[in-house]
This record gives sequence, C-alpha cells and structure tokens, in this order.
Amino acid sequence: MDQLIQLAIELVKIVVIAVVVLVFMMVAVLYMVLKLRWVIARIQSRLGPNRTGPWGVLQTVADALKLLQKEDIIPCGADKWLFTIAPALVFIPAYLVYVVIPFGRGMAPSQLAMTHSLGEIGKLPGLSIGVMYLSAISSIGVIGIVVAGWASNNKWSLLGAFRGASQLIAYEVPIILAMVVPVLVSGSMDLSAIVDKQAGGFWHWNLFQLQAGPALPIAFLMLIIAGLAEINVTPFDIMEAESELVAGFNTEYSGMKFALFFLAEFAAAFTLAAIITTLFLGGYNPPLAFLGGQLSGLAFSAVSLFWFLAKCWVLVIFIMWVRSTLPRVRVDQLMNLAWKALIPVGLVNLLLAGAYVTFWMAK
Amino acid sequence: MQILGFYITGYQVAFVILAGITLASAAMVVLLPNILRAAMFLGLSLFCTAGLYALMNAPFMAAVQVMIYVGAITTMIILAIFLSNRVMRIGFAQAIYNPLLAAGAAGLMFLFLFLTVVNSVWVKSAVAAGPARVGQDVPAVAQALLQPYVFPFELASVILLAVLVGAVVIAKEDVDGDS
Repeated sequence: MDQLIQLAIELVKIVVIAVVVLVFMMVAVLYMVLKLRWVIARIQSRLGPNRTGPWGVLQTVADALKLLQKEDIIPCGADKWLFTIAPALVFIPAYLVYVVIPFGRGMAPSQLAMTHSLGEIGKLPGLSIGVMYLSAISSIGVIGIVVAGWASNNKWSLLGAFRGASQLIAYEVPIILAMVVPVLVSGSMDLSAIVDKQAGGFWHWNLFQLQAGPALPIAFLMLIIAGLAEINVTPFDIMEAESELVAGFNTEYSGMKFALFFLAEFAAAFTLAAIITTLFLGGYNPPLAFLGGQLSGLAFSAVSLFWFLAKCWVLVIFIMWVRSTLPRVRVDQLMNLAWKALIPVGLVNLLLAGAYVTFWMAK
Repeated sequence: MQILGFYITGYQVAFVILAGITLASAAMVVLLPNILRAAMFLGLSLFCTAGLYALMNAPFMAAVQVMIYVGAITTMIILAIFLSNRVMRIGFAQAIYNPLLAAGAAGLMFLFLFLTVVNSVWVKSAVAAGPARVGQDVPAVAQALLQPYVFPFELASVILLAVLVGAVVIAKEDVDGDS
C-alpha cells in the first residue's frame, strides 16, 4: 500500500509540473503576442492595441476568446484524420522541449521531477543528453507542418509545407553546428552543467570566451541567424509569406487548430531565447556576482529564476525588433544563406573549436 | 505492487505500453491502404522504439533514434511520397507483387534477429537500475565509437557519402535525359 501511495505522489507531482510548465507557456505566449504588437506599433510609429482594458493589456485575451469561439472548419477534400492531428504534431514537440530548459538552478522540469525535497533543489544533474534532446525533439515539428500543408488539399498550403520542409531541414544543420561548440568547450551536453561552467560574472559567459579564438562568438551569431529561420519569423518566414502564399501551410486552419500553430510558433520563439541564454549568456547566472551570486541554496535558485527569465525576455524583445525591421528574403536567398554561408562557416568554426579543445584546453 | 497475484513494476507497465504501441503501429504501417498514413504510423513506431531505448537507460540511443529516424527519415519518406504522385494512389497491399518472396524475406529477417537476440549477452544491471537515474553513458558511447569501433563507424560514414554522391548522379542524369 505504501508503494501505491508513493507512486500516486510521484504521478501527481509530475502532472503538477507538466501543468505548471503548460500554464507558464500559455501566459508567456499571451504576453509575447501583446508585446509583439506594441513593439511593431512603436517601430512603425503607431499606437498599437490600446482599447481593450488598461493600455490594451486584454487584447490577446480577447483574441484567444475569439479563436475559441470560431467555427472549426475542415475543408472538403481534406484528409480529415491528418488535418486534425497535424496541429498537435507541431504543438507537442514545442511543449516537450521545455522539459530540459534550466529555468533556474536545479529548476529544469526534468530535474524537478526527480527532486524529492526542497533541500535537494540544485543538487541533481540535468538530463545528460540535454542538447541532443532539444534538437531531436524539435526536429519532429517539421512533420506536423508538412502534413498540415498536404492534408489541407490547398495549393498554397502545399507550397508553404514544401518551403517549410526545405527551410527547417536546411537550418537544423547550422543550429546543431552552432550548439556543438559550447558543448565541446564545456565538455558536457547537460544544460545545467553548461550553465554552471559560466558562473561568476558576465566575462565568464560563453559569448565572451575568446581562448578558442572567435569560435564561440561566431557560433552565437550562427545560432541567432539560423534560430530565427528555424522559428519562422519575418526575415525568414517564407513558408507563410502572406504576399505570396496567403498564409502558407496553415491557410485552411481556423479556430483552436489555428491557435495551436500560433501557440507553437511563439513558444518556439521563447525556446530559442532560452537556448541562446543557456548556451551563451550564462543561463541563470547573475551578470555580476553581487547581484545574487553570493547567495546559496533556495535563495540562489529563486534569484537565478529571475535572471534567466530577464535574459530570455531581452532576447525575445530582440527577436521582435529584428522581425519588425528586416524585409522578407527570397526563397533562393534563404536556401543559399543556409547551404553556402552558414554551414561552411559552421564546419570551419567547429574545426577551430575542436582544435582548441584538443591541443590547448587539455594542457 | 501486487495485482491479481502478479508482481508488477512500473517499469514493466511502461514496457508493455511502449512495446504494444510499437507493434500495433508497425502492423498499421503494413495494413493501412493510405501510404501517407502508413508513413505517419512508421514515425510513431520508431518514436516508441526510442521510448524503449530510454527505458533501457540508453538516453543517447533514444535521442539519436528520434533525431535520425523520426526527425529525418520519416520526414524524407513523407516528402518522397508527396513528390511522387503515382505512389500516392497505391497502397502497400497493391504494391506487394509477390507475397511468397515477401514472406521469405520477412522470415529470413526474423530468423536473423531471433538468433541475434538469443545469442546476445544482455546486461541486466542497466535495466535493474530502472529509469529513475539517468546513466552516465554518453562518454561510454563516445569512447566505444572512437576507439574499438572507429573503423566500422568511419566505414558507415563513407557508405553514406557514396549513397549521397550516387543520389546526386542519378538525379542529374534525369535532367540531362530531358534536354
């Protein structure tokens, strides 16, 4: 009987963590959509949403309610079964990557699931294959996009899906080449271990490490550029280019199914910010030691959560700034950038980092 | 815990669920008339195989399985189906022209796998440790790949390169033939 109770407690704990992560994701996306509208409006010298609630803060809540009420249309001639599961295939991977993200010291959901007491927080290692898990899970999403485009039985959707597949497959390569560099230098694929190696002041962050020559800063730039393409935002959003493809792979979607695509896209933007923060910007470490570095135990975990979210938020704003500033590239330009620029640079960069780790760091 | 007189662990429950989905979706791959749906079930089957690896305390293998088989190969199969309009209209059932030959090939494959499973030395400790603690197996895999198995590892990459070059050559000839 004791075992049964223990099992029930474990299950409840895991469900609670999963729900908390889901709620965090929803709230973050709701606020990011609102912030995006404000940022774009500001850059275009407009006011942006300002009627719904004070300063327009309820605008995305109203949008979400509208999407919930909308009729769920399945076009005739569509493959109903595939049309219905495609949004889930895009959304679930975008949700699953949050499992390994270290929101604070010892606060990656995978670590929290194994923690049995408050005192244990921050003492457990993260998932040993963290970086691989990230890229493996996010590579599933492309199946959802391709299937959504095909199942819609619409030529715009299909064209968008094909563009999406070629774009996402192409940009996965430079992303992995960029993520491998901090992994090599840190000697671990565990995201928490990579963050702990960057503790103690911003000059310890991987971005500012210059012993390996320019390898780490170059990897940082590559991750930002390729990441923007992977999350499909404006300079690189050719798979849903409005002026060419109506709305691309999700043209035929409405109501909650469309909301799931929308949610996954914004969740992916936050994930990109979190990955860049973790790998290059010191993760949950404070930028200067006196801003929380002297704390220990639970107090540090709480402060680290603040710093992680603050850094992510700065990057999210940066992504919005880029997407509201740059014009959309052409399809062939996009593919050339990946195959002829980013991947060769990434390979040489990886060689550089490897040479550094083999010949200098070992001594 | 004790259920109906049997002692059942959470590990066994997880194994039965994952193995059940793997086998059921594998059967769907062969039985479904729509080849695109069959490809989706192939993806599910491969994904659950990754779950089985994770259950055996081999998270590295699980991640590689998802990245290569689900993320890359299933996507490629789906794209290939889209690009070949004719394939879209026939299912596997119609595509099997010689059932005897197919049964023979499947039987040989089964025999080979069965003999391998029976003759392998299974490490019981990895399973006994349970899925709760993640094993420190990434360095072990890296050591194995780059020391005793470096030759087969490199050979596999040479074969892949040859396949890649071959595919480019075949695709190029097609273009020349048209002009």
